[in-house]
Amino acid sequence: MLRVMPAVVAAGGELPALVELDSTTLGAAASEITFSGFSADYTDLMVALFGRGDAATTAVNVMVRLNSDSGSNYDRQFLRGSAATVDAGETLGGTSAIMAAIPAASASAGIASGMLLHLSDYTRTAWQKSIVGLDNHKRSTSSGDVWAVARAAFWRSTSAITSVTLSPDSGNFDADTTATLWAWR
Amino acid sequence: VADIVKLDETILGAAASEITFTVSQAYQHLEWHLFGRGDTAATTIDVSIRLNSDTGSNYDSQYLRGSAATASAAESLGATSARIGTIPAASATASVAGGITGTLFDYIRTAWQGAGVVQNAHKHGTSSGNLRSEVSAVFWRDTSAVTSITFLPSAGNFDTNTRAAIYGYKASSLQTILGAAASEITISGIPQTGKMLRVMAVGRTARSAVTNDLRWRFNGDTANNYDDQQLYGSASSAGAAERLGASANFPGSWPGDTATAGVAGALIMDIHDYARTAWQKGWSALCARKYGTSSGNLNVFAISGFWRDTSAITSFSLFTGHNLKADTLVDVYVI
Repeated sequence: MLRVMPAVVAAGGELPALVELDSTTLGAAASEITFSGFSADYTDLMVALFGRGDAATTAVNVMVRLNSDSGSNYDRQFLRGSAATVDAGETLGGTSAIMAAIPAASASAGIASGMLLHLSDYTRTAWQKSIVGLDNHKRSTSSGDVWAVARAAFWRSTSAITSVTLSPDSGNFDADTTATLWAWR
Repeated sequence: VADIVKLDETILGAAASEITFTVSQAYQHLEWHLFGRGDTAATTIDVSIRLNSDTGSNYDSQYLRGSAATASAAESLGATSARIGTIPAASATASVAGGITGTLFDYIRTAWQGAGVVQNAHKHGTSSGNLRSEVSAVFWRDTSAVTSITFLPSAGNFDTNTRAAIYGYKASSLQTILGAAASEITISGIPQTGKMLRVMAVGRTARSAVTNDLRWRFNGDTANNYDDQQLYGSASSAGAAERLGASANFPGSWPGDTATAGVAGALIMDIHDYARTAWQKGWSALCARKYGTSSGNLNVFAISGFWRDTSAITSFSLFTGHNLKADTLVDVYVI
């Protein structure tokens, strides 16, 4: 799914620092949500997703890919709380960065989960890119099925970010999944 | 989002030993974004903040970290600056940088000592253990309004191209500041025009104890419809706990009446998709708590919460079962 950004309208006087660039709410299941063609006039990006997958499982991961780069260029680290357990894990040289887990078709009805990501310095080419985020995950009301996760991810590229693609690692995002892209001035 | 304004930005044209911003006194909360690298001959350096050029031993901090398969936590007490995270330095893989975003709550008033929360994404190589995901709580033992913030590397300089920016959050139109102790703060009439609701709160409670867990309800729902999961760091301990089917959410914990004078707790909560009715509701929060200056008296919480209801959120209540003290503040931003 390709989304083209609307023009950003600046307010008079003080310019708002946080500007919504685009938002998508799926009317039907879709394999990805892509924000592209957005302005390079800002400094950082913020991305939120709240929704659910349609795969026949209790949960699916949400993968982030930048500039459609499918190379082995993503590193990520998580720190998770689940019931009384704290765990951590990393992936090095992945083809995308897992930044959330959302419930899927076998999860309890009506629940969804979300993530909020901050992408630093997306327009400049001085450094490789980094993402920090929190995701809140729930797939049922049983013990261990609610998570709090602090995540970090890194893209091995100094290119300016021109697109952000979110996709489940299995199946589709369900209808009514919503994602929003903001930019920090 | 008209209530959030960019105050200042620096992109280093040459290496520098610090980045200092003078802070406008026209806002309620301060957010910073730092992205960069150090130039010293090491793989990593720590970054800290100093407020109002105060070089006294007046800063405390607590972090909770994931690196490879290891979760860890650590505190710093009575330091001369507050550690906010780690960035790569000269011996790290070329071109990698680290990002640190943070919030200082209620920096303009003098009711409470300073408190903030931080998120840090760190990488210094592509080997196992070279990445970190970290959340922190930071505290300043001073009730003064913050008039300047200085970012400091623990060794050497910030490298050329390091960028830092600060942002001010105005007092929100739904702001509540308690003029006297009260059993709860209820915010109603929440505009239904946003994609996300950001709540910032700072305060303390009247419970006769050093700490007091907070409670949170949506739309006045008192049924057992709340689930949450917390991650927390305290001294060198990293822990987790869940609450399922509770009659209110746990958005964090603040100091109680017998905590050290002047300290406060702070929290920032982002509530997803609050105005639609497609899904039950979910939120994430970071909370900073301090109740003394001894080891174990600082906490950082990362919390994930859910409300078993698909209704649009039109109101919420913050309470504890004891009074919230006068000067407790809640701001709400429609994002």
